[in-house]
Order: sequence, then structure tokens, then C-alpha cells
Amino acid sequence: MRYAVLLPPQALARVHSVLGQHATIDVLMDVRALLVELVSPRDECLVLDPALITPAIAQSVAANATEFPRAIVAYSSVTTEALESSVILAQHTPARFVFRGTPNERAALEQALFLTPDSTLGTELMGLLESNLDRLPSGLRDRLTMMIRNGNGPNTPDAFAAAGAVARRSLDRNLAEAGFVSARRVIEGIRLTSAYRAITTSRTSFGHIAMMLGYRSQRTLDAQLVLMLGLTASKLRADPLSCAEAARRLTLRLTTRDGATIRKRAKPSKVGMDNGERTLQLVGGNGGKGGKTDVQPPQDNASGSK
Amino acid sequence: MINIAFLNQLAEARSQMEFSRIAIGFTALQIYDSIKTHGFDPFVHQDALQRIRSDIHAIETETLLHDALQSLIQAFPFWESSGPIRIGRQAVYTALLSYGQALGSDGEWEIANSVYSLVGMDTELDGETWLAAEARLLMGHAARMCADWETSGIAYRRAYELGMEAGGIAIALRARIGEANNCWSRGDFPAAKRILANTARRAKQSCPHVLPRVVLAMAGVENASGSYERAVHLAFGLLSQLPNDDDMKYKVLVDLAAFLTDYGLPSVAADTLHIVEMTAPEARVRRHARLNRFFLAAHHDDEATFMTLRLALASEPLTPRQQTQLALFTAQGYRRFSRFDAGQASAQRAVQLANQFELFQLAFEAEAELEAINSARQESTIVAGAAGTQTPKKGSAHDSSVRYRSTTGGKLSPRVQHAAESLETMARELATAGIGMSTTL
Repeated sequence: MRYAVLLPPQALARVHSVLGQHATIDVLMDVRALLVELVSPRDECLVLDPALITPAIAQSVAANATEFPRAIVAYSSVTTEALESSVILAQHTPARFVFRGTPNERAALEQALFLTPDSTLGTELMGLLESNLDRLPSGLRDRLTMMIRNGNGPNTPDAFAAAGAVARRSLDRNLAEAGFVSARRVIEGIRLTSAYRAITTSRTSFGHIAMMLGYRSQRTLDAQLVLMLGLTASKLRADPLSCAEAARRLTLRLTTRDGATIRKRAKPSKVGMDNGERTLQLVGGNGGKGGKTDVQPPQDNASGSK
Repeated sequence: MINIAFLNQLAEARSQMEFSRIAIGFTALQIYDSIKTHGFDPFVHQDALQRIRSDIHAIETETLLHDALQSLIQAFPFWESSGPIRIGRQAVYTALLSYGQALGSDGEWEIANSVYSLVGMDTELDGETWLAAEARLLMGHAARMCADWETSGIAYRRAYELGMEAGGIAIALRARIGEANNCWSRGDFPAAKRILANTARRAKQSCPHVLPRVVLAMAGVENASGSYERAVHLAFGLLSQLPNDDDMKYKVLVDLAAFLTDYGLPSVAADTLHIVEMTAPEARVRRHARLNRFFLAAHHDDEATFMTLRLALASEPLTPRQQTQLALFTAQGYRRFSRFDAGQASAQRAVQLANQFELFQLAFEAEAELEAINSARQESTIVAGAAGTQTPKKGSAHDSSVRYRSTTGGKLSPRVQHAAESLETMARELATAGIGMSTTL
């Protein structure tokens, strides 16, 4: 993976120390170099300090990100100059933001740099989920759209509800009405989208990727990948799915109940409750009530391919 | 809760400077409460922010507190920034955490604790899990510094849970280190060692960059339990594993200097601090190392080194605590070199500064120093002409027949000898060549 970087020296040193040997880093000397970089449609991640660019340049970055989608990481201190540009980037690009000055800044930066979303996968997924997203209330739709686009967001249903400023029950109901299986599965799907590029195109160890995703071990990562995409991490790296195919499988998992699992785990009287998902060890409730009650057989062989 | 902690501090403030420093933070938090409840309204909040902005000029620049408050007031207007990523809120929360850290570095742990508690609650309610985990981690530390063990334990456990949720295993593991620190602070060394061994195993598997922190914490436990040699060995071993992590590298060096001093090798400790002084990129870190080296010079080194360092520090922009420490260490050094008049003047200055800035522990130490100087003066008068003073001879620290001066008089173990030689060589090379440490370590 190539990283084009426009940062002050100290922040640049931090990025170097985080990426180490894992990537190619091209240092952009000034804003002019950034503008040249923007018009080259290469697969790369742009790492910049919003304080070094004006709001007008931030607009250019945003406009360009629409034309040539790319991962963006904004890494800066909390200052007026940085925030003026950051707001523009936050509104119009899939940028991830890391603020300097917290004790675990390095870990946050590491997560942002390594788990850069695959813009093609995000676009494909958005296309396939468009009708579902349209059925969500606007606030939640925007939030979920951003999560899919950025491959980043809350890690538990409770945090998802809090971030969307809705009650947990409302979140479950809204998602169910829009045809999603559950909040937890949506979160898992998005989490894996954020790791897709790292799994398929980098040499980062799977254990490290699992750790950055918040999984306890690589086994949990593999279990989730098998559930969502039908492949383990090593198989996916050896023979990556096309983005279109990955998006198709993910969409299926996000919107279709795993009937086999439900039949196996739930008592008949509780079939309607979405608590059939397994393997996750995260804090927070299960899928909640109000989901669709129709039990469908699995429509692909994803869960059984291991 | 936040108001009570701040109000208590305001009520107890004895100087105008102290009062205004706390009052600025208190006002900023009131504005935060208002913005959080009603949103940012320039008509309502701009004047108040402007007032704070002008008050901040009264605080010394280049301090963490100054920078954190600046960040906070710069972030407030962006609170309501539209879009699904609530960048303004994240910025405000980050600035609040920085403010808490600045309070902590000034020793204001109680109000730092209340700031972290506030941020912890608000970030969790907002679904900002990562920031919530950070806030709880910092809260655990602040509560420990207030000896509120129960709150500290709860905060660390919550930090662990939230860190795991957010994919921040580094936070989770650091929370475990915090719990271990709680254990040994209360004298439970076996529990601390057990937690750290377990945490080290997990860090090795899943988060290698936290491993040095775990090892350093292990060294701290060893040192606290009297195994000085093992502490030195562990900390020195870390240096070769940290080629790219400046923050951690300097933390290890400073801790290593403390371990070496406890082991009885202040001259090697001074060399270690000298390395930090010559290579740390942050002026704040360099200054801190120099002050520590000055302390060692006052207690163990020759008068020439002591005077050179004193002059160097006199021109540095020091925080109130550092100014007081400088005066106190100067007094201690002058007493050791039998310059009682100068020592008395420095001790009085230390008492005055400590009272002015309400650094009561330092005030107590400065008063004790004043008494010690008076006693030493009387003793020296009695023995004058008979036994002479006990002033160390110039150059004795670098006596060629004694390679490493051990204050305990014990023989050095081979691995400590190796560490001492390496550090001394490193300091010497840096002093002559003026190269950066990143290439040396």
C-alpha cells in the first residue's frame, strides 16, 4: 500500500514509526505537491494534517475524492485551522480522523492507517444496499451510509444507537423494517469491510488485523469472515474475491437470516427473536425483538464452506 | 460532581494565580456544559470564550495547561458541526482529555479525575467508545494518584471493556497495567507480578507495541520490591527494542535513571539523563531530564557540574513546580558543598515559591532543608579546623581508579556493569559527536 503524506515533521515521524516496513511512504512537501497528487488516480491512502491546508484546498480534496475515491486519514492537533478543514473533509470524504494528544494516539493512528476502507467495495455495497438504506430514517441512514463508506463506526449495537441518537429498541426496529438482519450483523459486516483491503492487499499479519478490529484472536476473525464471506482470512488473501462478489455476499448476510443457525439454537417459540448469531464476544445486547419472523434457508454456502 | 471538585479547589486556592488558573478551567467547563445542553450559539458563547482567551494569557505559555485550554476554546465553536462524523464533538472530547492530562502534570489530580469522569460519561452516551475508553484509562490513573483505589479499579476495568469493544487492545492492556500498578502501590507485589506476566503474554501475542510498557511496569515492580538489579536489567534490555518509539524510549531512560539511582549508581543515572537531555525532541522532556540530573549533581556530583547545571537551568522557562524544585535542589547542593549562606537563600526562595504556588509537599521539604542547613552550619562551626568539612573533592566523581561510583559500596553484577558501560559510552559519544539517539539505540 502506498501512503502519500502531508504532515509536519513530528507527525510524519509518528506515521513512519507506525507503518514501519509495511508500506511505501511518499512525503508531499507542500500543498502544491498535494494538488498534483490529487489528480493522479492511484490506489493509495492520503494522510494529511488539515491544519496545513486551507478550507478551499479541503474542498478540492473533497471534490477529488468523489472523482477518484481514495482512503484519507486526517491527523492533527485540535486547532481552529485544523477543524475548519476537518469539517469539510468529514462532510464530503470518507476520511478517518485521529487527533493528537491522547495517550493512545499511536494505537488510534495504527487502526486508521491499516484499516483503510476499500472504496470500490464500499461503493458496490452501497449500490446493493440502496433500497434498504432508503427505508431508514434520515439520521440513521446518513450514519449507516457513512459507516459503510468509511468502514468505520461504533463497535456495539448500544454504541451504534447512541451514535445515531436513537434508542436501542428504535435502532433494532428501524433496521428490521429496512430489511437488515440485526444491528450486530451490520456492525460486523462493516467491520470486515474496513479490514478487506488489509486482508487482501497487504502483508499485515492476520493476528494484527484481528487485534485492530477488536477481536480476541485470529480465530474470531476467521469465524466472522466465514460467516460473512464464506472464506477464512488466509484463503481470502491467497485468492481475493472481486469487490463485486464480496459486496454481494456481504449484502446477502446483512439482509438474510441464517435460518440454519436459528433452527439450531433457538427454541420454536423464540424463532422470531434475532438471537441466533454466535461467535461474538462483545458487550451489548443481542439482536433484539422486532425482526422479521420468516425463517429462510441459507441462500449461499458461505457458512458451510469451512 | 465536576463543580464540587473545582469549587473545592477554588475555595482552597491561596494565591491569585492559583485561583485564576483553576477559574479559567472551571469557566471553560461551564461553557462546555452549556454547549452540550443547548448547542453552540455564538451570541451566547462567543463573549465568554473571548474572556477565557484573554485570561489564558496569564498562564505561562509553552505549558501543557496553556495549550490544552487553547485547544478547548478553539474546539467549542465546532461542537455542532454537521455531518455523520461528529468531528467537533470528538475534538472537544480530545481537548478535554488533554486538559485533564495537563492538570495531572501539574499535580491537580482531583480535578483531573473529575474532568475524566465527565468525559467518560459523555463519550459513552455519545457512542464514542474509543474516547470513552481513553477517558476511563486516564481516570483510573488520576484516581490512583488521589489514592481512591476503588474508583481507580472500577475505571480501569471499564477502560478494559471499552478498549476491547473499540478494537483498542492497547487501551485494554494498558488498563491491566494500571490495575497492576494499583496492586503494587498498595504493597501487593505478587498480584502485580501475576497481572503483568499475564498482560505481557497477551501483549506479545496481539499487541507488541504495548509490550515495552508492560516490561517497564514489571521493572517498576521489581524496583519497588527491592530487586534493583533486575529492574535495571529489564529497563536496559528495553532500549534495544524501541528504535521507533520516541515517547517510550525517553520514558524508559528516565525510569532507568531512577532505578540506577536506587541501585546506587547515581553517576550512571546522570549519564542516562544526559542522553535524554541531548537527544529528546521535546524541550519539555529535555528540561525535565536536566532538572533530574541537577538533583543528582546536588547530592552526588562535584561542585563544578552542580554550578554548570544550575546556570543552565536558570535560563530555562520552568513551570512553577520546576522553579520550586530548582530552588530546593540548589539549597541541597549548597549545603553539601558547605556554602550555607547561599543554601539558606535558596531554601528561603524555595519556601516562598512553594507557598506562592501552593505546592505544599515541596514547602514542607524546603522548610526541612532550611533547618538542615542551620544544623549543618552549627556543626561545621564546631568541627571547623579539627576534621574539616566533608565537601567532596573536585573531580572525585570521575576518579580514574573507580570506574563506577556505587553509593551502596556493593560490587556490580556483570549485567549491571554492562548496562553502565553502554550508557556511559553512549553519553560520551553523543556529547562528542552530537548525534541523535535514534541511530544509537
